[in-house]
Amino acid sequence: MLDDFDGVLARARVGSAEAFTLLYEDLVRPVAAYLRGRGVADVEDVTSEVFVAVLTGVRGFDGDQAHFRSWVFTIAHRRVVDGWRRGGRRPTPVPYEPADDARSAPSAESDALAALGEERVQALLGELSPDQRDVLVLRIVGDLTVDQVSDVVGKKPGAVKALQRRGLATLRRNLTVEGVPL
Amino acid sequence: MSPFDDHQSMSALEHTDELVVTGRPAPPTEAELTSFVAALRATAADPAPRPSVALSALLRDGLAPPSLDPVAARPRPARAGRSAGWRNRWRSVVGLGLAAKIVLGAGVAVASVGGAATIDAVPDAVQLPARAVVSGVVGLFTSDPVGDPDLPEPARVVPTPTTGVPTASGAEVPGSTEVPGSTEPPGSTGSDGLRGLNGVNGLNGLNGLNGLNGLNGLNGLNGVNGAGNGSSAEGRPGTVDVPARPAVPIPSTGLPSGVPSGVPSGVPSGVGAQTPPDLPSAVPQANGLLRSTTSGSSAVSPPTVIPPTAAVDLGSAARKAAASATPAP
Repeated sequence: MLDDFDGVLARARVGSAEAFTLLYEDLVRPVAAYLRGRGVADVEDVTSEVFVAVLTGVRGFDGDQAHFRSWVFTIAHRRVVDGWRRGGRRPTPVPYEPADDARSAPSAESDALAALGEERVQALLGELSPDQRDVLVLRIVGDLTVDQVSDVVGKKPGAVKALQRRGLATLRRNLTVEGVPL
Repeated sequence: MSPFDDHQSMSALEHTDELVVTGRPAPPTEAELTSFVAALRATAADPAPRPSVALSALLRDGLAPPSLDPVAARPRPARAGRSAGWRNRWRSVVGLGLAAKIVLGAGVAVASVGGAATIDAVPDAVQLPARAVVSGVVGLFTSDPVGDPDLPEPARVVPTPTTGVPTASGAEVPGSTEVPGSTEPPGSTGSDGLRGLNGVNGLNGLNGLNGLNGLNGLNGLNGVNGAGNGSSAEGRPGTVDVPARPAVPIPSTGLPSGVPSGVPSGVPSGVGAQTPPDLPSAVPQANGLLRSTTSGSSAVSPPTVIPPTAAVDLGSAARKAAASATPAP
């Protein structure tokens, strides 16, 4: 969260590179995590597309930090949906390959443990419906409220709550069956 | 379980879900789900992916403010906008098909000739030929059998020769003298009804080809043949005050008094026959000289009876009609 969001937004509206960087660094990781949780194959490219759209369109944005966060995730959500439509098929879970992950980690042990945990998380998310994944990832990774999620996905808050409830119920059932701690 | 209990349990479950999702302390029974949510939330702490080239440029250079953009802020000259508009119109014309171009050209030509014939501001050197062209075209489209050689030539009425209409400079208006063998085209006499009126208009060089005059001419046919034509010449040089002629007996054919009996049935008699017989101004006023009270604004207004002793501005058509209505000695 940015302490002086209004000032940063004002500078970003006039094209300040420093403000762009602050906004990008504040939200790039949650956005990338959302895209990963949604099964996007090329997270790097899509994340860059999302932030190019955000930074070039920030002149037309008006609102507080919570609205800005919802707006950024709305753009990311639409990119995901557009990717599905271009592919003409439902998203398929991309198996996580730790060897392909070029991201740095503090140590080899922690990297292996984190990769194992993330792989399990992505596998469990892959058993949910796309709408349930959307709602849960946006609520947990994006740190959005029910109303914000309803704005992002274009559904009523009651529908968002129902999707969240059914998604968590599915997760409970699968976790109980597997019985393997994360 | 009652519906109230259902609602209670649902509310409790939603509350538990909300605790788990938001990362707050949850009941021990939700330990596995709490661990999953924590692992999912930890993915948001992963290192950021590398930005693309475009995003790197944005983060490095930023964007130019919109108001400081010299190209966007430069006002476009108005002349350039106008020339662009004409260019676009010309492109639209060039892009038309051949038939559309022909139709467009014909429309422009008709509008030009019609405008030249009807607008008084046009010089006479242009207006007179334009009027002649329009009169010919109008004659073609009327029911008048103009130029049909199969039809018998109507009896020409030899009007009383009159002197030329003097103008302010003393010269006579061309064609104002109506004598046999003049340059008047066939059918230009007043006895030829519409055709004659058109011809009279062309010869007199009056404002008579604008359709309004033709209606005046119709009014004239109801009363005195061609008398209405004189109304269009009011106030113009070349008009003359014609004294009223004595009353003439109305022919029993129902035709206006100015129409001789030899008129072909197709032309002016039809006009005369269209006059309702119960109109008070149709026949009783036929012996007087009529002048439409309208000066071109309304052709259907009833004519005003001018006393025989009054001086009236009349064109040659009126004089011709009055002359033809006078019984031959």
